[in-house]
Parts: sequence; structure tokens; C-alpha cells
Amino acid sequence: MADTATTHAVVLRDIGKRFPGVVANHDVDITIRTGTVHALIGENGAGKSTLMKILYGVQRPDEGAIILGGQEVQLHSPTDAIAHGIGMVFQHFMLADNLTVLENVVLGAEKLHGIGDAARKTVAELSDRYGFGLDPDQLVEELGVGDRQRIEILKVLYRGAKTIILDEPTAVLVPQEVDALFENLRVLKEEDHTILFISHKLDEVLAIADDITVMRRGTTVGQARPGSVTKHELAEMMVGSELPTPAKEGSTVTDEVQLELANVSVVDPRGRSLLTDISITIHRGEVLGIAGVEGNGQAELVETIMGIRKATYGQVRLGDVDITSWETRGRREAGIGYIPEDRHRHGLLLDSPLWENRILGHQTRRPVAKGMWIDRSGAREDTDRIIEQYDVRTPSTDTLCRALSGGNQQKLVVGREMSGAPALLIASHPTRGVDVGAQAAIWEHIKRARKDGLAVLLVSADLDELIGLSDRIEVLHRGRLVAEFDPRDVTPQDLGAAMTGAHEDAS
Amino acid sequence: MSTTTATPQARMMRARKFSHAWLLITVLVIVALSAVRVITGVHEIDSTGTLRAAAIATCPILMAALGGLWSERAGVVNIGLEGQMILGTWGAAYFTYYYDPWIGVLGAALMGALGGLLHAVATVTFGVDHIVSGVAINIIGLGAAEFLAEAYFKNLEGGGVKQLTGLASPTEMTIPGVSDAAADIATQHWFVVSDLAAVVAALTSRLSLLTVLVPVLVVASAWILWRTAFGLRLRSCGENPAAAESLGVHVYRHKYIAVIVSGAMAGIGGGYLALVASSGFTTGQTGGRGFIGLAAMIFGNWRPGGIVGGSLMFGYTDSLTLRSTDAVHALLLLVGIGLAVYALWRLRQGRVASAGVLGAISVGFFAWFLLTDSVPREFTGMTPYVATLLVLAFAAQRLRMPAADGLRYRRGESI
Ligand SMILES: Nc1ncnc2c1ncn2[C@@H]1O[C@H](COP(=O)(O)OP(=O)(O)OP(=O)(O)O)[C@@H](O)[C@H]1O
Ligand SMILES: [Mg+2]
Repeated sequence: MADTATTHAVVLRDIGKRFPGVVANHDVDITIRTGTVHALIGENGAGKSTLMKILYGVQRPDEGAIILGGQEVQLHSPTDAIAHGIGMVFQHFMLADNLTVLENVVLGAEKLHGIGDAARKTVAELSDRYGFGLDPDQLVEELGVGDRQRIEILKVLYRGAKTIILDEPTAVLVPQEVDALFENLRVLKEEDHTILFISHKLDEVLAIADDITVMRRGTTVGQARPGSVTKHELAEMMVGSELPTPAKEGSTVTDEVQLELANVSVVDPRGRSLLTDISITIHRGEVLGIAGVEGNGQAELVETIMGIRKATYGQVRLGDVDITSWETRGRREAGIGYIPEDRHRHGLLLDSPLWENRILGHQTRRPVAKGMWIDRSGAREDTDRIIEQYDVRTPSTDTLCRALSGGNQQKLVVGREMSGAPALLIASHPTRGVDVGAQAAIWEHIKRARKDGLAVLLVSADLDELIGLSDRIEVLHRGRLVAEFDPRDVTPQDLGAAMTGAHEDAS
Repeated sequence: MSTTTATPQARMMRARKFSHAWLLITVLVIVALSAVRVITGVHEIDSTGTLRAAAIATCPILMAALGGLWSERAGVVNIGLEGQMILGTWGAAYFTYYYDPWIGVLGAALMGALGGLLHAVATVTFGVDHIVSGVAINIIGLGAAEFLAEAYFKNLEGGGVKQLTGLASPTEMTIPGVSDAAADIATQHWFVVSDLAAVVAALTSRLSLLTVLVPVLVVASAWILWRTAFGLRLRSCGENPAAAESLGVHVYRHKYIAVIVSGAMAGIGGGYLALVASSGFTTGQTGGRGFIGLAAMIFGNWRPGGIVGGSLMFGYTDSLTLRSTDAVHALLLLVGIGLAVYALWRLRQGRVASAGVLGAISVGFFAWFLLTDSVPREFTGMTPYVATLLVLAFAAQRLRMPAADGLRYRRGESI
């Protein structure tokens, strides 16, 4: 026993954790070999993040033992876990907006290179090595989800932890970035680091993992090795039943224009061009996919359509109404639904119950408001409808949003934005963090609404999602539309090349 | 990869531009002041005496503001600065009486720190609302100082139930030749030259060493908060304590240290009032300067340079009210000019609406200056607050308080 234990970086034995109304973990047994990449998969709310938080000392287990390098340990706080050489990337960003990239990265690890020029140099080097392109002195506030994710990854790499926990680090990264990350995980593995990797993207899991553990309803239900299992089998182990195969269907595109951007440009107060001369039209019943590496103007495009940002030049038209100067609320009332890229920053009030969150953005409309009053029972009932239709796993509508697993929070946001039959849906990474089953369900919802005339602007890092859902794909690079593709005959490789600007350079 | 990659050089350029801006503002203020003095003939507005008084009025406010900076950067709103200052006045008096003025300063810091500790226990450990706890500390500070004065000072020489006078002051210094020469030039009333000389004269004659300590503490605080690992950790607690905790930062510990230091700074401000600004302790001698310090901190956008500017403005007008009604009248012109310049600057930025409003207000001040001969004294006292309101109203988008300032933080709850 003693000698096998030493080759096991982490052993979790009989871990149990209960929250009010939920058993998040029970009888969890996992053994993680030193120097391997161990993937943890499972449906939304299966208890993966909770388990990792227990291993990182954020949450105390109600029962069970944590054994690190053969030694049983008590982890009271992240400080203890860090002292044992554990580092973690959380599913939801843990960044201070008003600090710079550098400050966020070195915080807590100042002993390594200080907080000055030596640290700046190391951060810049790491960022270059991983192709992250981060400026150490930029304020995090100015960055989108892609860059934020890159900073989070940089944080653990900078610390050089022996055991690295990555809770859905790739959800908003494009394939090239994922490849670069995996390259480096392999190097780390060679150097005897141990990596725990959580993802809902099974291709990634099969590509990088040495061992796979599947969780369902709070406990481990199976083990697998990538060589001997298919993506399909994994999905079935996770969900516990067979996956629905997406039905092929014909085009529903009409020739009625729902959204039109005419020569839209956005220039920031410092005079930098964020979007240049964007012209797009989306028809009723059409899904327009926007491909691109995060940080190339996606956020600005979405915010301009939502009225969070104003177009410096150009026009935005909804149907045949010019809405260029409208406020966000007016736009929403006119029938625009909005799934934001970062559910925690823009989509939800974490410390409010689900039913209050259902009201956000719909506060002037039925069924959650009556005249100037909030309709509580209406809101509760409609939240129940979303919970049922979108399979949000929650004890009740009065649960605080914070207590939901990441994927379930996402399902709630999607359900809310699809409420009230919107005419146009602006969806940024709509299935970020949801499991394969729920992903298929969300796509199904969108397709059904599309058939009834919904127009969709889809921004996603998931190329399969883009290709599978879109009727047309535009590529955004450095604030310009640089290429257009027909999803029926485009390969992820073509898209990838266009996204990094290879297309532009060639022409 | 991102559309926004500024090179380090560009960053440095921006930083340099920034310090140029400060220099420019300082020069502009001096020139405007001088012009107003020459135009109105009211030399009192920046005479050596006025400037000395202004420096003395500024220091306690600045110390309170500095205290606010420490605590709010760690995410704790410290509205109890006033109470901690009051404790400081008593501490300074008590320890100066029995030991010497420098022990008195330490005593002031200690008493203020006790007030800070109380605030930390309430807000950090027990999660009491920061405002509620702060108000309580103000009440406790006032009551405790009155009680302690009555208990300890009643039977002392120079003492009474509400006061203790005749205390020794910290060392004062005069730089012989320079001081006299500068004072001499200052009385020549030359344009700009005399104004600069007045500044030099004020800083070289009978300058209390405690006055010198104040800017030293400001610079030291700025350095600690922005240049050290400890400072980074402390600030991270004010921005996103959950993230800090997840990286192994002891959030509670840092908040405790910050609030205690905050109290100590306010306490020293109180000590300054008892030892330098006047020659003894009286109850109620802070006169709301803790709150003014808080306003100066907000005015200064939670940054060291800004709070110095804010405190100077409050301190200057405060000292002017007491000295000369003519000077107060001349000040109207200065405010008018200041607003006009600000309006022009906004106009250049293309913010026509706010430039218009500012311009109109500025014209109002000019008219007021031309149509009257004197200003009711109460109005001057208002000037700094009006200025703060204007700044808040027009620059609110650019004010940036720490993101988690004033929020209750419980370990492990929000990860
Ligand atoms: N702080 C909390 N309070 C109450 N319940 C919680 C809390 N955190 C998690 N839960 C519950 O524990 C269960 C497991 O959540 P967890 O976040 O571990 O799921 P997950 O496997 O990471 O899911 P996802 O793939 O959606 O991220 C969920 O039912 C969730 O509602
Ligand atoms: Mg999770």
C-alpha cells in the first residue's frame, strides 16, 4: 500500500459533501497517478467542481479522506492546498478587474519573482510561449472572456504547481489555443506534474487524458482509458442513457430582414478602432455564426447590437426600425434576447434567487411584471417552466443562483433569454459549460425557435457548434469581417486558418 | 492576439504624461492664484501667513484621508475616521503631558489604532455593516474622549473637564537666511515670483517636524500600497477578496492590518490638531475633519496624489475663512477661472453639454465677484463642498472606488 501510494499524487476516498437540499458528493473514490492527465467528466451538477474545491481547500468535505503523496491531509483553506503544491483554475473567473494582468498573475506568489520588472518579464515570456498575447500592464477590466481565461491559466502556470486542477479551462478557447495549451500540459506531464482536467468537450478529453473518471449524481460511476472507449460511449456513461441524435433539417431562412448593420464602426475614447466597417444582415429564421479568436471584436459587436456600446459610425436596424440610438432596455423590449459571454459578470445576480434572476431584463414585461409591479407568482411559475424545459437542476426556485453548478446557471440564462418569443437572439457562447446532453437540448430549442422565425447571431469558440447550427458563418479578425463561409462545405481547418488571419495574409 | 496590445514604452509614455499633467496643474494653479492676487490687490490670498495656516489646516485632513485610503483599499469603508481622530487628540494630550510630544504622537496613533481595531472586529470578524459600525465608532470616540478628559485631565495643571492646555509642541525648525529672504520677496507683491517666495517662506520658517512627517507618511503609504507584495495583497482584498483568498492571501488578516493602520493615521491627524494646530486638547476640536478627510479621499479618486490635492483644497479654503473676508471675495474669481478652464478642457474632449453647464456656473461666479464686495463667511466654508459636488457630478464616470469596497466578506462563501 505504502509504495503504490507514493506514485499516486492524489487519492480521494469516500468523499461526501452535502449542501442544503442537495448531496453534491457522496462516496467519491478517485486515484490519480503522478505525472498523468486525469480527466473528470460528468453531466451538469454531477459534483465535479465541488470535488475539486474540496481538493483545493475551498470547501471542507463532510466525510472522507484526502491523501496527497501517500499522506492523509486536512485542507482548511487554499493556503494549505497551495502549500501542498496544488494550483487551480476555477470554472468561473477569479480576477480583480481593477488590477492589471501582471498583478492578478503574481498575487499570492510574489515570492517567486517579486511584483516588479522581473515578474513582468516572466509573465510576458510565459504569455508569448503559450501564444496568449497578453499585455502584463493592461487592466483586466478591459479584457473579454478569452483573455480572462488565458490569465487564469497563466496564473497556475506561473506558480509552477505540482498538481494542477483545470476546471473547464477550454470552454471559450478556440481549437488552436486548446492545442497550444495541450502541448504545454504534455510538457508539464513529462516534468512529473499531475493534471486534473474537467471538460464537457469529449474530443478534448480523449485527446489529452491518460485516465478518465466519470461522475454522475454526486458520485463516481466509471473509469475509462482513452484508447478503449469512444466519444459516444463516454457520453452515455455520463448521462446514463443514449444521446439523442440531432435531426438533420432543411433551411428555414426567409427573405425578411430581421437585423441589419450598415457600415458600423466603433472607435474607443483613445481613438483605437475596435470595429471597422461591419455590414451584416440576418433574416428571420436564419442563424449567422461569427467565428474568431476571442478579443477580435466579438464583444464589441455584440455590445453594439445590444446598445451597451454606441456605434461611432453606421446604423443598426431591427426589422425596418432604426435603433442606432436606442437604449438597451428599449432594444430588449423590442424583442432582442441576449446570452452574454460571461454569465457571472453580465447574466446573473449570484446572491439572488432564481425567480428574481428570471425577471432581469424582462422587468417591464409579462409574465414577470404587471404594469409597474413585479409579479412574483408569475415569475416563480415561469421559472418553474424554464427549470422543466431546460432541465435546470436545482432544489427550488428560491435557491440562490450561486448554489447552482456552472452549467445549470448557463441553462437558466439561456431559458430566460429564450422566453417571451424573442425576434432576435444574440448568443455569445450559449452552451459554455453545459454537458453534451443539455447542449443538444439547447440546440434543439434554438432550432425550433428558428423554424418559427427567430433570427440568431451566434458567437462561439466551438467550431462544431458554429458549423452545426449556422446558416452562414462570418469570420471576425481585428475588428473586421475578413471571410464568409457556407457551413455545409467548410472544414474546421479552413475556419481556423481564417480566424488567425492566415486568410488575410494570403490575399 | 487581442486588438489592444500596448507596448511597455507606450505605458511609460502614458505614465510620464500623467506626471506632466500634475506639474501642469500645479503651475496653472500658482499662475491663476497670482493673477487673481494682482488683479484684486488682495495679497492675503497667498501671503506667507495664509500659506502657513493652509499647511497646518491641510495636515489633519490629509492624515484622515490617508487613513481612509488604507482602509478602503482593503475594502472596508471607514466612516469612523472622525471618532478615531478624536481618540487621537486625547491620546496626544495624555502622552505629551506625561512624556514628550513625540511619545504624544505615538499615543495618538495608538488611540486611533484602537478605534481602528474596534472597527475591524465589528466589520471583518462579525460582518457588521461598515457604515453602522463607523457611526458607532464616531459616537464612542466622542464619548470616550470626553469621559477620559474628565477622568484624567481635571486635576492637572492647565487641565479641565474638557481641555488640557499648555502642551509642548514637536520641534519646529527655521532655515535661517532662506526664510527671511523669501519672506522679504513675498512682500514685494511681484507677479508669480512673490507667490513662489511665499511658498518657500511658509515652508522654511517655524515648520513643525510633525508637518514634515505627514508628506513622508503619504509617500511611504503610496510606496507600500503600490510597490510591495504586501500592498498588492491588501489592495486585492478591496478588489476581489474571493480571488485573493483563492490564491492563498489571508484576507481577514490584511483587512485587520489595513483598518488598524487607518485608525492610526486618523489618530495622528487628531494628534496634529492638539499639538501643532493648537496648543492643547479640547473636546470637539476635530470639528468634522474626519468626514472632510473622507470627502478628500473620494475627491482624490482613492489615489495618493489625488487625496493630497483634495486635502490641500479643503485645507486652503478652511484657513482662508478664518483670516480675511476680502480674500474670500477674491476667491470667487479664482473659482470662476478654475471652472472656466475645466469647461474649456471638457469642450476640447468634445463633451459639449457638461462644458456648457460648467461654463454657465463659471460665469455665475464671475458675476458674483463683480457685483458684490464681500461674501458672507458661511459661504466660503461651503466652497470646498460645492467643488467636490461639482467634481463628483462631472467626473463620476472616472472615479473608481475599489470594487469590493464596503461589501461584507465571509471566507469561503463566495467561491
Ligand atoms: N455553494 C453551494 N451551495 C449549495 N449547493 C451547491 C453549492 N455549490 C454546489 N452546489 C450544488 O452541488 C451540486 C454539484 O455542483 P457542482 O458545481 O459540483 O457541479 P459540476 O459537476 O461542476 O457541474 P457543471 O458541469 O455544471 O459545472 C449541484 O447540485 C449544485 O447545485
Ligand atoms: Mg462545475
